[in-house]
Amino acid sequence: MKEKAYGGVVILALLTLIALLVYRANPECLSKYPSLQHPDLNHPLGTDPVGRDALCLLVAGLVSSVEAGLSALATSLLILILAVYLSTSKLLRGLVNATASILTGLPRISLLLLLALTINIPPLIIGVIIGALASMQGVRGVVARTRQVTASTYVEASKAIGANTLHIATKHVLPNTWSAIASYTSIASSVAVYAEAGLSMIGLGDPSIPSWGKMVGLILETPGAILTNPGIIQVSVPLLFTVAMASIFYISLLITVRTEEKASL
Amino acid sequence: MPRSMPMTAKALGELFVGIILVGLISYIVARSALGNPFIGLGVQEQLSPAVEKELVKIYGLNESLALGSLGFLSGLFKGTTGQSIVYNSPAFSIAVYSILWTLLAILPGFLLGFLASMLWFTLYGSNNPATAIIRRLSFIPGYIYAVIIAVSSWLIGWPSPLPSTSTSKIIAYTLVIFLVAWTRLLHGLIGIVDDSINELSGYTQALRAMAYPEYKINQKLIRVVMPSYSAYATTLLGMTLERSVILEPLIGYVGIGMILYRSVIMADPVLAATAFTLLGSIGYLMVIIGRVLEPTFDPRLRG
Repeated sequence: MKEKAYGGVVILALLTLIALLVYRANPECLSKYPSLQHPDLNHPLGTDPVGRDALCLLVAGLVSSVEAGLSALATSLLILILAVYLSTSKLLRGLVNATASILTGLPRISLLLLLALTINIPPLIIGVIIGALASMQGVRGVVARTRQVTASTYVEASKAIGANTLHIATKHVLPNTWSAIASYTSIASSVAVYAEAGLSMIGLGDPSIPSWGKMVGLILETPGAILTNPGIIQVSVPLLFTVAMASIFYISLLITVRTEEKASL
Repeated sequence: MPRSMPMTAKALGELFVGIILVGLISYIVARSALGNPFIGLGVQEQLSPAVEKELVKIYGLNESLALGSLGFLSGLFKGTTGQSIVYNSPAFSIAVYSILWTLLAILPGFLLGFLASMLWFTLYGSNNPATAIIRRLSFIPGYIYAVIIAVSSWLIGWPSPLPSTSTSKIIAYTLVIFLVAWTRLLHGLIGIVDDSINELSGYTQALRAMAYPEYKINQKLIRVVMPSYSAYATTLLGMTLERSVILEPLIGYVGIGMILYRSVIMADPVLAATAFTLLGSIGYLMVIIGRVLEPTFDPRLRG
């Protein structure tokens, strides 16, 4: 079971590595061919409306997707762990909770849309922003859990023998909130994968970076492209990959934690 | 309800701060990013400097960022945020009008989803294999259904590919929202019931022992978790509204999402800031209502 749980992460890492190797090894696959060519041995998914090999774009898009997911994962993890440490102190708990309450309602996708005006937002930044904003609901959950843990008798006992806040947060609170942290983090990372694809689908984000959303968007924007076989393939395959990638991010971390929990019982 | 009064005051305070925050962010980002759209025209001598100066003044782009933000925030509460450059009409009216079009499609879809999720849970409960499949579907983002609608526009001509608020577009958009809302609400409902299962297990066992049919037990479970479920649904409605930014350009529906998208693409800072603020404010309102609903109506949490 544990091996299966880590399987998702391993598959994700392998896919990224393969994608990077293939993409870096064969940059000319993005050069111009006749547009919307039917799938054949040279171009298994055909070519896009601009005349680039669709399989090559798909592989390049994998990097963007993973980048968005991983940066959201890292940001969310950092914020939630920080929230645990800060909210272990009674003085700061109220402040953390109030900040999270205010930021929970901030519209994420619209904010990214507005920010897309100022900079060509790369997938990494999309991941960071989504990771930060999607964690706010999690911060409230984690603060509530921290409050429960710090009120428990063993924490009181720990305080009585002189343990400081940092020690209590590291030794008692963090291990007991880890499951909640992982759950919110996995949600944030899968939301980032979806947001990256969705925003690039409507033509936002850095135009120089290939993305699955951009593949779909280009087909939908090109009149008549969707009526062709390569068009249908180039809409459905990237969408399937997006769902698969978001699922991998969502499931792998969550299952890993649950397996750890079961093992510790 | 002695406990709910200060809570409501706190929630209103949070809402106020939230609206101010959204308003400030949107104005500052939109103004700094979109700048003055007349400058280029003036330099290229398509506009004389005098006309350009006059236009900048008319559209309120001559003020500093700090003063402009204050003016925008005060105008927000009065319904006068300035003039849209692209549509040459009051930005606030355009945004409010387009929000109504968005709600016209979103509310029926969401309400149907809300009812369908409860009906499904009543009839089939949480241990049905089909329920498990629907819960998996809740993971699919709305834009995938929107892409299917966009593809259907090209393949079978329904709905029309042209951007509009026609009946067929409303139906298509409502359908997308229903599909998203139904699966997510059902997933949420089962999650909420599962969370309360420890408290409810004795009660359900007693009902089973009294030979109650499963659908009646499920009905009673829904009634118990209704405050939490309504709070969850309200928050989800706010999030659904926010996602109109991606869904509407794909479906070609001219609601608030499309207006925000267009104002960004066509460099209309006042309209972009107003649309974003209204969208964000409604989102905030939904989150706050959700937060107040549960402790107000749940007898287990009510003071």
